[in-house]
Amino acid sequence: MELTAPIQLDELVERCKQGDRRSFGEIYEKYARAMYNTSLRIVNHTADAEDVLQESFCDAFAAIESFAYKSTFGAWLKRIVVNKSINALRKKKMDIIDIEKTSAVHLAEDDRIDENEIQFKVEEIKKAVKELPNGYRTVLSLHLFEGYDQEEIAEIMQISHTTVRTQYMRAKQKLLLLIKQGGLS
Amino acid sequence: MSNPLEKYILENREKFDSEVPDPANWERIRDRMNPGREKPAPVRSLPFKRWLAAAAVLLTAGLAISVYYSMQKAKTEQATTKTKAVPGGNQGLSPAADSPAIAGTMEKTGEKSLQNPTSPAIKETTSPATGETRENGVSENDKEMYYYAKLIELKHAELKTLEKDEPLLYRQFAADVQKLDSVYHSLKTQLPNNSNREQVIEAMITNLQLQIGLLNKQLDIIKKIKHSKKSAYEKAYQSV
Repeated sequence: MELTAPIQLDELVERCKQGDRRSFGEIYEKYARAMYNTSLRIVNHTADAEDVLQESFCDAFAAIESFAYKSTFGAWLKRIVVNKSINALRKKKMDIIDIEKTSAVHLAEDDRIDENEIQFKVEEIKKAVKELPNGYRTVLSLHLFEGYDQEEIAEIMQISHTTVRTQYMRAKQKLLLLIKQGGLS
Repeated sequence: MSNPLEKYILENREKFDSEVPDPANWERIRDRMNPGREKPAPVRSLPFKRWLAAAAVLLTAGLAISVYYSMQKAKTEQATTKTKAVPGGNQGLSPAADSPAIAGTMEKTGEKSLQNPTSPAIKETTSPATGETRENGVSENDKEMYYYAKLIELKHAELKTLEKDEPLLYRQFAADVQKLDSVYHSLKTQLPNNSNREQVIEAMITNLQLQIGLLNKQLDIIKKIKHSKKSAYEKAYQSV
């Protein structure tokens, strides 16, 4: 989004830094929807996602002076949203890692679903993501939708690279299974 | 991991952000940001005069209470001349205890006064006849007044820093405090010869409390003014 007009955006951020209230509104307009969806995919609960959204924007605006253009503003904001979303999940005492519990999902090689067979549809994928357990959903979302690589996910979730890798593989298999089942029914 | 799923999502990424947050979220964010950002506006719209009026109301209330206390004191003085004084042994000579009986005791003991060397705030008197409870009450009062006097001193010093920036406001503030303080001093001069010491002391403590309250309010006002000036400056700076 911010790639279309990076200079304009930087100006907007600068105006925010100077406390221009209208610019805060513009930034919100620009990012609210994407950030809300990012959070919603992790917390899987609309009210929680709205809380995360509010807190993230408040924190970001309060700390905007410290934003140093090391990344794009959107990436900076997204990281705040992701961290807050994960914290929200943890606060609800939901297990962020599903390894042990869901080891049954460990599919044998020949049980693996061939992605090439599946005709993907946005709505079906969205529905299947919602049905994933918290840990799977988080790892999968962070990679598939937010574009974080394994290392970044490991850092964000404070788990090892190996865990991220296995979690992602299993999450993806589970997702494909859900999509397939959903498509059949 | 460039697999069909990843590819499909990448190509259709925008479509996955289809959920729309409640528009009320923005209002809530704006409200939460308010204390830091927007609040200066209403402060600016509340001019100095209003703050001065608030200070004046406080001062008037203070004076009224002081007057009320001195009237009360006069009344109980009359009353105690008629009733027989109860000798010592009254407990609980806390600042709040002000029954005529205690006042009577005070009348008796107040005459033969002794200087209390430990009192820096006021010269307090004790009588050896009435024993420990009396002394406790007195030193408690002493401590309380000393504490208040110290606090006032500190706040005065804080207020004084304003003199350079806002000389007019400072003078007005200082005058208000001065009025209360003069009442305090007149109470203080009454103290040695007054038969109703507890009442006077209480009035003095109340006066000191009022002074602190007034100073707090004044410092609060200054803080707000400074804040609104700062944001006005920032605003001006932005528009350049």
